[in-house]
Amino acid sequence: MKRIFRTGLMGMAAAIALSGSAFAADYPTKPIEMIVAFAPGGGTDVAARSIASFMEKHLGDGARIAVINKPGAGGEIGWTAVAQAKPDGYTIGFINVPAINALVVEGKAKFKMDDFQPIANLVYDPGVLVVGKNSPFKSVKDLVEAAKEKPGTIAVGTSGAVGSSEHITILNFERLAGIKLTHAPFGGTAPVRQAVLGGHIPAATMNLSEALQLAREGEIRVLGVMSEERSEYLKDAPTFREQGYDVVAGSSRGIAAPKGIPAEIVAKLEAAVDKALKDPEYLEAAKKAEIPLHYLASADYKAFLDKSTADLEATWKVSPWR
Amino acid sequence: MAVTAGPSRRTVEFVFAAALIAVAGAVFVLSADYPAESAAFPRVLAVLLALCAVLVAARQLRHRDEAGAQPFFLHLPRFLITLVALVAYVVAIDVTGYLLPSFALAVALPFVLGYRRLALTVPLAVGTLVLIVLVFNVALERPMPPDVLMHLWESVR
Amino acid sequence: MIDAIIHALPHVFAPANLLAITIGSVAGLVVGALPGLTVTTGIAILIPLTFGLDPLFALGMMAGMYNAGSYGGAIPAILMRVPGTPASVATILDGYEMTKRGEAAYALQVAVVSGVIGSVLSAIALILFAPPLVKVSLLFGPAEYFWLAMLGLATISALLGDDLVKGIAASAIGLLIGTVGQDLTSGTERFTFGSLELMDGFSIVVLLTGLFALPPVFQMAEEAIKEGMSASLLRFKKQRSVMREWRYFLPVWLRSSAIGIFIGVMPGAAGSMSSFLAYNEAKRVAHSPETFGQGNPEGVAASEAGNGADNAAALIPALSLGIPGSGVAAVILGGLLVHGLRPGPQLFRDHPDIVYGFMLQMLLSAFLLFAVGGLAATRIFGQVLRLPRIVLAPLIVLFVAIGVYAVNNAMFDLYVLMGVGVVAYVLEKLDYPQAPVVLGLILGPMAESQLRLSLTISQGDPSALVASWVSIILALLTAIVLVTPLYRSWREKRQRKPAAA
Repeated sequence: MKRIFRTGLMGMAAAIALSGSAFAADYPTKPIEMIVAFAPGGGTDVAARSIASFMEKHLGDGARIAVINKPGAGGEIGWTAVAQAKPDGYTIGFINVPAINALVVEGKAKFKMDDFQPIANLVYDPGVLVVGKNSPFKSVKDLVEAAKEKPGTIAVGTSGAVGSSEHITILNFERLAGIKLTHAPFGGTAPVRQAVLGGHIPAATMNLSEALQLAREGEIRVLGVMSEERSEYLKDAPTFREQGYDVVAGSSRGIAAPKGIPAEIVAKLEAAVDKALKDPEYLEAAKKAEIPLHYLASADYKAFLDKSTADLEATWKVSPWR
Repeated sequence: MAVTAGPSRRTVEFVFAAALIAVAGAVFVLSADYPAESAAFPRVLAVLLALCAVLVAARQLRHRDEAGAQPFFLHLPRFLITLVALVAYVVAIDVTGYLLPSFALAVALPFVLGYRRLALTVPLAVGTLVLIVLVFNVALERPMPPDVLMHLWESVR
Repeated sequence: MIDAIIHALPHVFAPANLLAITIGSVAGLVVGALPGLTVTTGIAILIPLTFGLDPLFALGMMAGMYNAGSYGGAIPAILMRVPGTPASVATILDGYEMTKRGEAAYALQVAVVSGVIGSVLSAIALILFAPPLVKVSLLFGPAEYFWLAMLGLATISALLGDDLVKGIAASAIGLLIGTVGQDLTSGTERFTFGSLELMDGFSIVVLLTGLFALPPVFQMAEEAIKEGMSASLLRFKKQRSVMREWRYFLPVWLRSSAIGIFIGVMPGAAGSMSSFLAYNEAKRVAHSPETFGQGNPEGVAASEAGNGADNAAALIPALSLGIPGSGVAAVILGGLLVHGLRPGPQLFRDHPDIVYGFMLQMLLSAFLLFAVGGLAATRIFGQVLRLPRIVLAPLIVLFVAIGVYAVNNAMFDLYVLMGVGVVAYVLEKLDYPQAPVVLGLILGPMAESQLRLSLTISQGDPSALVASWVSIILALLTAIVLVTPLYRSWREKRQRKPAAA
């Protein structure tokens, strides 16, 4: 009985796969839904809507992509929707690393990273540690020494909540430098930037693109960039590695589909993203806006996702953030 | 008459105050699982809420005035019809999508409540829904609760 | 600056860009008037469409949409008691009462004129005083925001209504609902029962809609009135004219606009705060505060002027520091980025004609709102009231249902809506006031999280709460707002006593 059931299931899977490739040839025949796990107007939403119109152009044949916001629970609602969608190529979504991996590692999410078929990564924005312009800290070392002197007295603001990716980064930094800081979650990027500028908080983490203009104007000081190499956009800001702390972190945005979508459709979408990112019109706007574009094709993106998950699992074992 | 009048205002005051006390109690108990700094604020509020509810109830006991004896509902049967219609409406949206239940509600509710000029309600319902589809779905690309009509529309296209 | 403005003028008045503002205004009015659709959504959808267009064309559309959308919320608020936007809740308090009295047209007129005046003053503040106002906003850290929230909460004392006990109970209900969701500081999920949908708390728009829009639906159904309002009641000319009464409204407009601009500049303050604070201030200084909430046009004027004044002011920290003062300002920043314009001090140096052009467009769109909103739209929308009320009731439900669904694209919110609607009906019938529920809901989380953030940063030292003079001033203001109604009733009692004796 069990065996019959299983063969039946396999047959069904094969049938689905076959029908999949049958219509993959003239894909897309109806509007593609692109799920964004954040509210309209947020960074991810604007990025999604911008790239969607260029992907439509490069998918050709009057393809339509409808951006659908399913915000809530720090992205979990939207990502669950992507993971559980029918793998027919008509539902894709934006996923954000490392926030999505963190949910999986905590074991809280209803999905696993394997439930996604990565399509392409678009943006990688490294994290930075910043202080106000009147701060006594001139380098990461200054801050580490001050924290060693009086453990736990230096508050570091983040835009997230407890368990957010920035919080995890702070925990990593604490472990690597052997210090104790106090995490102050502001719940949004606007308030934390305002607090740094007004000198209401000794230090804060954010993404490089959010600190760029203020740093160039000298309103805030970037103590360290959490990337392997210095950023092209801010050449005089040192990395954490240069200063002897191996903190590499940042957030990335990419497109994924539910697992099991036909390989032809993955290839089509991947090509559309690639072409959209190379579209001169898009490229020029992105360059002007200094969006840290970082294209990864499906296979590379998968490797990147796996590495992020593995890193977070290691952190979780040493210093659980929740 | 006595059947249609429903509970008196005083009765509802009591029931509602009791409900508030129950909610406050539940909040207080549930907060026990949270860390102290997260539990403090809701607990203070729960105590405050329960206190107010007790006062409201006590006042009803002391002043047995005319106003409290008045029926709470203006017209209980119509209220119940509306309540059932609205709950059915939301459940129906969940099952069949937005358009059909909306049309049904806009036409049937006035009809049941005594307004029978279908010459006004039917075109009005259709017009409203067309407007809603145009603004929400076509112009602003907001998705609607998936509708059986939409599937038909897709297959026709 | 003058140079830049003069340089920008011809671009602003170029026919294409004027057209952009007009299109934006009309779209904004529709988006603002429909519950669940916000200006933020409208602009987010607009952004990709403006790729490759002239920046001022895109920004003109955004400016129009911003000002008109923020006023648009007042239309359903006044006519149907449906809060189109959270900020229009304070408008409901008197606006809907005026409609019930047959003064819908007058109420809409007051709203649009007040909204225009608030927006105009705000745009002027944006053009002239951006740098000093930005410095003020930087004085606000967690401790100051905590006191700002407390000041807002203190205004509840003016909204409690006649029954003190029920007023406090309503505030506690609002504050408790506000605690639902993940607690930022500790990461604890409070009262979510494991539901993902409740992690971020209840959606404010869903709650407000249930709280205000559904009780009248039940009421209309119970009354089952088969007639609508007569056409003559809805004609504009028959009713009073706001323009002729400008002297009467002027103090309210000026005070409310000042409050709106101040709150607008604060990135961490909830946007709907400005209309409530303005409303309360108008009530506090009024000769007969008891007429507020019973259809006093000053209430509508205060709320809408405060709301309109929030708009351009929220762009001040956005343009000059890249810190958005509101959700809408945040999307507009996104829109600027798409056109390669990075907000910050250098924006004023590198692209002065665009920055000042955009500011002028904010000003221009405020005036345009007068034409689009006042002359055309309110007349059309007002006709809705001619429908038999029993037919109107289900139509309100249709709009509310699709709007609430559109907020998060979730059925969950529709069920919440119905639940809240029934509870709100009971609350209203038993004379529990709704305004304190709203304020508690919006400001409670802000007060709690900012207090704990402030204590986290200061390692638990409570003196951090009064460490700056801004905190002390705000604390004193809070005390004044709390004491005024008490003082007033005490004085009235004393005056009455000798008369009785």
